[in-house]
Amino acid sequence: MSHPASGPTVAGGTSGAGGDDHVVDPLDDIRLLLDSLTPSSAPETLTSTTIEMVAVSSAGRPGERKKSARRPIRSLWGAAGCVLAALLIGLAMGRATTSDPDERILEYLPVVEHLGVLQEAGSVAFLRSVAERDYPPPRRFPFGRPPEGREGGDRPRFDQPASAPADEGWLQLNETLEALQEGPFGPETPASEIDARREHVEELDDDARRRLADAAKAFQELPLSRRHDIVELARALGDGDDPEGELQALLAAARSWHQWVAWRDPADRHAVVALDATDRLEWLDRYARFNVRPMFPMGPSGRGGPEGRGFGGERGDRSREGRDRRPGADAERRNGGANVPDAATGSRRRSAPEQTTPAAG
Amino acid sequence: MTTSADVSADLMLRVQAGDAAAFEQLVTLWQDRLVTLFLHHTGDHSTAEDLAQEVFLRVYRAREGYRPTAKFSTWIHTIANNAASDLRQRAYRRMEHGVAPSTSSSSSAVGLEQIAIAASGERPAREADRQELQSVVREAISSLSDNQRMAVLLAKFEHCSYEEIAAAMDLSVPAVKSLLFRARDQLRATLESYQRDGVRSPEAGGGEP
Repeated sequence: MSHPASGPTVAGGTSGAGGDDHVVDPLDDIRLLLDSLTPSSAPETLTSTTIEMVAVSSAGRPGERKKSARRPIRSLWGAAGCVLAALLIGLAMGRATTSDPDERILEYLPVVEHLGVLQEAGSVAFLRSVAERDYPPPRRFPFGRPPEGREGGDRPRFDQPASAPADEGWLQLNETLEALQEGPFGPETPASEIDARREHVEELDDDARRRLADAAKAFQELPLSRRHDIVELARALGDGDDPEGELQALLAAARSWHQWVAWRDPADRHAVVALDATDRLEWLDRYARFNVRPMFPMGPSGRGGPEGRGFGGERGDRSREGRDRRPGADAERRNGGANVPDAATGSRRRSAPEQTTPAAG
Repeated sequence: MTTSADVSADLMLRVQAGDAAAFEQLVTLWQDRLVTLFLHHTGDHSTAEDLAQEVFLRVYRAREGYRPTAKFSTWIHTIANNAASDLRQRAYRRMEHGVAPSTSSSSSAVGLEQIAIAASGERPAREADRQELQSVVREAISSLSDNQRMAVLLAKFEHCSYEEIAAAMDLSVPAVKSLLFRARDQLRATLESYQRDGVRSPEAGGGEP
């Protein structure tokens, strides 16, 4: 690390490199007290990921990128510029809002095209945590459903796990998987593949191109860490070889998570998907706790006895333990009841006490 | 003599001219410093790395506008302070969704736990090991307001003068002096009482709004 060698700097001076002026340390006498704060070092991979992220990020700023490259070789590219402009005009048919399908975007086209699904899935770390905690599927909420619409006597239909094989999002995940496994993406994409993708983009209709442009813009505007997570996740899903079952575990977790968010209204879903891994897990824990409660614990009459506590009241009976298990219970069991390490945060979560406490309202 | 600041400015000018290798060198030169700054500012390593990357991205995007008239360190510190402020605003917005900022709260909880052990009287400060002291100092730092913390860290790790801190944080020099005066008072109260008695000062932890 190359910190400036100077110690306390000169107050009133502008350079801090002065020699014998009156030296005033902004920290004064507490500098020594703070000596236990040690300098840290970045991981070895940070440089490469930073360079990659900056390269990807600057991809969506064609004007900016071309400006610096244009100066020294402007004359050489004059003719090529005309050709490119013609191509751009062709691509910008009608009122298409697409920006130039920049080469970098083409490199990441499978990711950009399936950005929605990947954003929802989040990151490898998040999915690993979901897999590890082994959340049960959400139950259908009975809002608006008349009592006669339920089946099975005192067991309401909403107790059934939500299975969503025909769910659009479910199908999109499969399509995403196919697309990511189909070909390479990122800097290693061969030129021939880039050309093929360029042609593919050219053949898109206006609506599809507009959607792609929106996705590319959204991809560019993601925070760096989020973009990094998505590219990492796409690489994990795109790796067809799965000898250790990691891919299947990630997919199962993605599907489980999708089931949870699919029940939210669109605005809420958007807000939940925008959360980072830690907050998503917190959200999921909260709703999973809610999920394991009996919906109408007061009995068939709906009135309940003295112990009835209304919506979300007493805990379910033990016979339902298998289905209504507490989130993460399986993982804890596998770990001998010990605290379960949190893959997303690296922290260790406390196990039973707070997870079995019913959450407020 | 070539100082590290000159090296950074030179590298930045090369980045401006489109030299990708220079940008990589600049990242290598500054990443540890930024991660250190953000680590002590946020209390979380991965957040610190994200913020450092964000700073480099902003540096790259702003390369056209860079002029070597000011010190490079002041320029990058300004960007770093802005990135930290943006993170704070994002965290605030996130809380509007009803999700507590778990990263800082968890790290704070650990700190409090350690302080509770350290302050239990079983081990006086003189015998407290470095790790305990470190956690107390971290807690003291985290009890400062965001501006105070950033000013203290710029002074501590980047050896910035009042003027440089003022420039980086877009404040006046008297405002920075006042900021640091209050920060020093608060830290002194917390840390001296711990060092003397092994007990955490009751004033600590309040911070400024």
